Amino acid sequence: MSEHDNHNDPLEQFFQKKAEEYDISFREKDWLDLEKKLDHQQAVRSYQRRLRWVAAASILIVSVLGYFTYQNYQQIDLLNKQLDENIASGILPDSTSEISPATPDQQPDTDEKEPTGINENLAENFEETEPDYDRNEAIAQVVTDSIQINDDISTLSDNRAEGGMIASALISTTSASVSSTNDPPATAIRSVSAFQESGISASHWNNYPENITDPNLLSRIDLGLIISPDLSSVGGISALHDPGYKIGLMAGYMLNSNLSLSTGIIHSKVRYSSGSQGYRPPANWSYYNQPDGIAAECFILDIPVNLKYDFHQFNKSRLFATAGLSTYIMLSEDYRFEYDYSTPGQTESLNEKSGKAHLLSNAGFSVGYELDIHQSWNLRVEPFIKLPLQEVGWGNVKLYSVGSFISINYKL
Amino acid sequence: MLHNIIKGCRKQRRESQKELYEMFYAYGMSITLRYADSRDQAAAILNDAFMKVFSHIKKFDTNREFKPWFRKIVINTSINQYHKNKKHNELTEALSDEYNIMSEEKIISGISYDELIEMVQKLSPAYRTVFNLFVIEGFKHEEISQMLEISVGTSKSNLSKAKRNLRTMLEENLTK
Repeated sequence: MSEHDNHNDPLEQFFQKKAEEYDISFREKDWLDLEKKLDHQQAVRSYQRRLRWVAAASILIVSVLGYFTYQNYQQIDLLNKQLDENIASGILPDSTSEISPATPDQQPDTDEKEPTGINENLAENFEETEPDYDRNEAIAQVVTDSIQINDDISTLSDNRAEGGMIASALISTTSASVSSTNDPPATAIRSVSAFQESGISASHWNNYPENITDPNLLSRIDLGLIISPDLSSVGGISALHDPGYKIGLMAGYMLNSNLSLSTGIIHSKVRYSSGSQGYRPPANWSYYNQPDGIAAECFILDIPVNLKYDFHQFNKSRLFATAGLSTYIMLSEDYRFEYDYSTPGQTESLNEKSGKAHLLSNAGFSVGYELDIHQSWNLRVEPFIKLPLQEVGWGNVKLYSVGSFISINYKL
Repeated sequence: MLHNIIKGCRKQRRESQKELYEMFYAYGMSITLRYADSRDQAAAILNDAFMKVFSHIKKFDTNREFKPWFRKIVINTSINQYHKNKKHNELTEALSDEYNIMSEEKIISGISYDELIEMVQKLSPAYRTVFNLFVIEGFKHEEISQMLEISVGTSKSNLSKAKRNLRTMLEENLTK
């Protein structure tokens, strides 16, 4: 055994023995210093916990809104079917067969005055007819049904397309029924008035493009090209680094007129910097060579799955909100390490191409504006924030990103 | 008792954290003092170590002894501090070489713990760290070379120089 490995050296034995004889008094000041650090750590954790709750609550709200919108859509669909069945079974006369072949006796006097509204049309028809109490009863039944359906429409008035179809059908049906009976019962007028009072005027529905009012003509799929600057940081959104970018393709599927599901693939260049507290190198990384700072430039594939909810509709545009989860695939990670006291031999940089996927690692939220520029094309501007749900990359960082997507979308 | 304190620390109860701190303060300081230049620096290293202890306390296997786990964290934190101060350390290296061997081994155990710590703290960080790791913690030169990212030869050389300097200091202490 060499001198260096000789633990029987009296000097070593002396120091080993003495090292055990410690008697060090406790200093309250040292504990207070530590307590400050613990308080700071607790504050950071509580902030992150709040962020997670906000993310979860937002996802829940969008999901619940989506669910109820979908339920409405289903109800309206059911009403449409019932209406069709009624027409088919003859309870409600088909408007096209009743109105068009009007007899000369029933034809309104177009020379005198062009009818401008449903009430006028009905009133003219009523004035030209004689009372027939059997028919009045039949009309009363039809109109009662209409009032019932009108009530349903009132409650579902935000579903413009389907509501419009029903409204048109009801206008036609009511007019046709009344014209066929040649009778002016007061209930019929009330029915039409009730319909108009419900706030769903025929002209209102006519403002929407045809492809929206007829769901059969609506494609439920759209494709989009999106681009955005990317401002990222770790540990919070306060220390944003130089911008990177996001560019990608998205595909959306309309679940109903207000809600859609989208996914896609976004190539992201992410830049961030952090102090030693913001990252956690893998276990096999030399613990004894931890840098004091890190500057990163990473290429990431972002695969989001988002729910989009249109919460306010204008004539040719709309406001929307999205919430979703993203899976990050790390394509390439470049790190530059910074040391307070750098010395030769310390690792200065690292390049990783792990291709590691971090499943549902971030939650994304956005609010945006969508403008129809053509029957099939629209533009969106969509500021977003992505919050970490788990750590990603070589440094196990909690990556926060903000930016604003600009996208052009095409309805298939 | 320790089991309950650890349980409290896992729930991030401040009073449990303080109890653990008070319980292992002296032991932790006895390690960090040997690696640090001063008591304040030793306390700062110890606090860094405790931050790691509290952050990772959920990973601690309660079927095992706490003290060795704690000791490992404190030593690692001390070595980490050595790396952080490496550049600064190199500047003070030359000063420590002033101590030359003056006599054969003549060790007297009448020296106090505080004096011993004072002597160790007078060593350059590079010598001191190797000396502590080899003599007190019982690591081998191969392990030390990996920890400090130096060659085995440098580790042996630093140990030799550390011992030589300590002997010199002991000589000086005896002649006072």
